[in-house]
Amino acid sequence: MKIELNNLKKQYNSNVVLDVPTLAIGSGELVGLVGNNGAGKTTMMRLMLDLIKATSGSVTVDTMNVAEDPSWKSVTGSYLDSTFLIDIYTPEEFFGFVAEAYDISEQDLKLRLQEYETLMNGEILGTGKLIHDFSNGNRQKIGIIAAMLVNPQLLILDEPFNYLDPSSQIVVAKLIRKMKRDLGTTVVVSSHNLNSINDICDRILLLDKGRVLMDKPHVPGSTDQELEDYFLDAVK
Amino acid sequence: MALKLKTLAKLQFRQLSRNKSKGRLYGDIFGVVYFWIIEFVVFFLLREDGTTVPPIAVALVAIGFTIPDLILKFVLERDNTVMDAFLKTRPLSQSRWADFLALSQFWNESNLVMPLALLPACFLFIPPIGGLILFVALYLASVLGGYIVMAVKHRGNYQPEKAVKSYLSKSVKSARGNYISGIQFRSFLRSKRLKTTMIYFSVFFYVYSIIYSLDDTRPIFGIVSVFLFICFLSCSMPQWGFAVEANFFGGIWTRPIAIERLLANKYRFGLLCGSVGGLLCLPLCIWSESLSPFDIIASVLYCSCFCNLLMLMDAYNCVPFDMFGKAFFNNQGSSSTYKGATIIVTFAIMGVGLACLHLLPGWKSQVILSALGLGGVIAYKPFFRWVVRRFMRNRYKYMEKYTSK
Repeated sequence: MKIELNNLKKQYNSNVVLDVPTLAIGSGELVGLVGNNGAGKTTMMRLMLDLIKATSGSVTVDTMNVAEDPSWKSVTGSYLDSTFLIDIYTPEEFFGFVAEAYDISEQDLKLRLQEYETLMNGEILGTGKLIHDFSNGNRQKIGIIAAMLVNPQLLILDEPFNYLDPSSQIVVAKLIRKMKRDLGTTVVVSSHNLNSINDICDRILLLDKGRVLMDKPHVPGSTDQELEDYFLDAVK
Repeated sequence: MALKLKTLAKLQFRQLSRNKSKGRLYGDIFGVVYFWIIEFVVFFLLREDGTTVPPIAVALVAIGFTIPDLILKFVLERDNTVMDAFLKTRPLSQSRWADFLALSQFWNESNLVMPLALLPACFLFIPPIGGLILFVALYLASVLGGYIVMAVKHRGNYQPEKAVKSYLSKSVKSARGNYISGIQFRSFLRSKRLKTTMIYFSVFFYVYSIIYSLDDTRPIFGIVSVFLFICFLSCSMPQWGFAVEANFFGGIWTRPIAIERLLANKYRFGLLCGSVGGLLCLPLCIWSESLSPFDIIASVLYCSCFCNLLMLMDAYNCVPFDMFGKAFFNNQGSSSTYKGATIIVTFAIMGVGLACLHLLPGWKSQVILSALGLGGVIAYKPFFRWVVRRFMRNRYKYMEKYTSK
């Protein structure tokens, strides 16, 4: 799936929080969004998911304007924050809810959940707890699994490595790469963890005060000195 | 260096004034106005009849309300004497906190509702000085009730750490079910606060339905209480649904789930609740001479199919209902959800229904209310399409509200 941002602008009163004249993310690309707090990463993702109204401009997914045509929802998996979780459900029920929404069969759901057993680490299914009662880390895992469970053509994850222990961070990074490799999923992922972004992304966008400051291809597993310098300079 | 009482009080008032939803306030205003209308109606009916009520009888009845007020607090209030985390980690002594809790009882809305609700009764039936004394006495009794409930419910200085309740009744193998429509029912079952409120008010209205159906001297009271019971069940539950879903609306919006479907689920849920209420009321016809099964059927049709539909017109204009909120400064998770417009619609539809039942002969009111109900069933799909169009036009405004609690 190809995503295009055209003259996309979001401002609150006179405060411009995102201003992207043009940006195209190709099908199957794994793009990492980085930037300090308030750079506009989450705003960009919320606009991609039509959760907030753009002041001007548009986001298109395969030529469909996300604000006008809801068909992108059937092929998109996303997890931005805990408001994407149904707190009053157990994880089983929540995954059942997702399966119902995407018309995934019972058998298929069971098979797909098996792919995430390593991430769940025996702590999520079968506990009988409501999602509300899980730790932040496990809630994060439930949200990520629910986003990936639908085998999306477009995957949008905001800070997926937050709250996760180091082992789970590695597992999530592998799952994202695997999804891109096996399904050709276009992935947009934001993180403050430069190592994780360096490990998995093949393109990195650096946002600063709502603008794309840097947009460059990246070899997964390598480090980007220019990027590191930017963050080091910011504290000098 | 320590937080002062004044600072704490200021914090509480500021929090109340800045609470965007003003939900609890509107809810309380609704309750108070509801009682005011009843008192004025009773006053004018009695005056028309030429019946004189001795002030002492009114005073005794009013004082009698302190008991249900106390019971209400026992049922609805939770232990909210525990400091919020942002206070507990600051220099604030337990004794200062206890002083603040004691003082705050004087402006705690749950202690103001009962005396304010009975304010017209104090001054309509009793001379001014006596009325004022009675009002002050009711207020102090309510505050005292607040102290008693606080003392009884107090469980220590920490939030209770209960073992996590298990809700697992099905394995993943059999987990496929109605999870989209099931949000309604499960949110009701799993939120103690929501469940307690709903059960309490349902029982309240049902008990009055039984009492008045036994009293054939004032036949209208029987059908009115049955109507209110059914109206409460069929209209309140779906209303809460959106406030619950607002908590995770991002997760719904980004998935292929049509808003029409959410609305239709709520409509059907209201219909189910109203029908259950109607079935519960049917046995009352056995001993009541004035209550007919057709009145009940007409009430179910009108409330569940017509009023419920109108109430859903603006249901998404809500703020999230925090079902798991705890501690003092978070309003016990009740910072939602009644809106001024909703109250007006509620009174209007209740007024129309009650006016029909009161002013028109039996069969006429039954036909009109049933016809409106059936009209609702026929029109609900196109009506929801129109509601969705309205929602879509302003969806960003609503969604922003859902995320900015």
